[in-house]
Amino acid sequence: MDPRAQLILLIVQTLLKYGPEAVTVIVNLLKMKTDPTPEDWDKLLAVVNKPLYNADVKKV
Amino acid sequence: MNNISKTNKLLATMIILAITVTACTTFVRTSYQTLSSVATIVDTARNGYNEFYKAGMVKPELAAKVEQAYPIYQQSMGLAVQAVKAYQNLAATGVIVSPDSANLAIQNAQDKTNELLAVFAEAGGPKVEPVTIEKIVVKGK
Repeated sequence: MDPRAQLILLIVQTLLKYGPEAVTVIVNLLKMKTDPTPEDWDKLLAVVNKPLYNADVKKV
Repeated sequence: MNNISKTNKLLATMIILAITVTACTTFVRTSYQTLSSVATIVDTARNGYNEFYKAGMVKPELAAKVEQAYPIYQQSMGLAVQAVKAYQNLAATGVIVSPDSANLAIQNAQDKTNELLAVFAEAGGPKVEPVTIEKIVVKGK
C-alpha cells in the first residue's frame, strides 16, 4: 500500500480506537516540516530525563 | 486493566507510525522523529509501570531491575540526542561530517531502550515490540 494511504488509514483507525490523545501524537509528528530546533531537542531531552517514578508514587 | 490493554495497542500503533511517518523527511529530522517517538513509547511504558508499582504488583527484585535499567536508558538516549544534535550543527555549517559516531550512539540508545522495555514488560508494564531508531544516512555513502 502507498505509505501516505497507509498513514491516513492508521490515523483513522487510531482516532476510532484510541481517541484524540493518540491522534495528537501522530499530528505532532506529521506537523514537523523543518529540521528540529534547539527547543525541539530540549523537549525531547525533558521527556528522556523524567524521573522513573511519578510524584504520586510512594517508593517502598 | 482495560487502560493497560489500550496502552499496549496505542504503543503498537505508535511504533508502526514512527516507521511510516519518517519515509519522506530529511535524515536528521527522521532521527529526531524516531528518537522522539521512542522516548514517548518509553514514557508511556514508564507510566504503565508506575500504575503497576502503585498497585503493589511489582516484585522488589523486578523493581530493582527497572531502577537499574532506567538510568542507563536515559544516559544512552541523552548521548544519542547530543550526537545527532552535534551532527546537525556541524552539517549546517557546510562541513562534511561522517555520521558514524552519531549512528553508534543511536544504535546504543536503541539497544538500551529495548533492554529497558523488556524489563518494563517483565515487571508487568506494557509489552512492546522492539523499537528501531532511524540512523543518519549520507547520500552517496
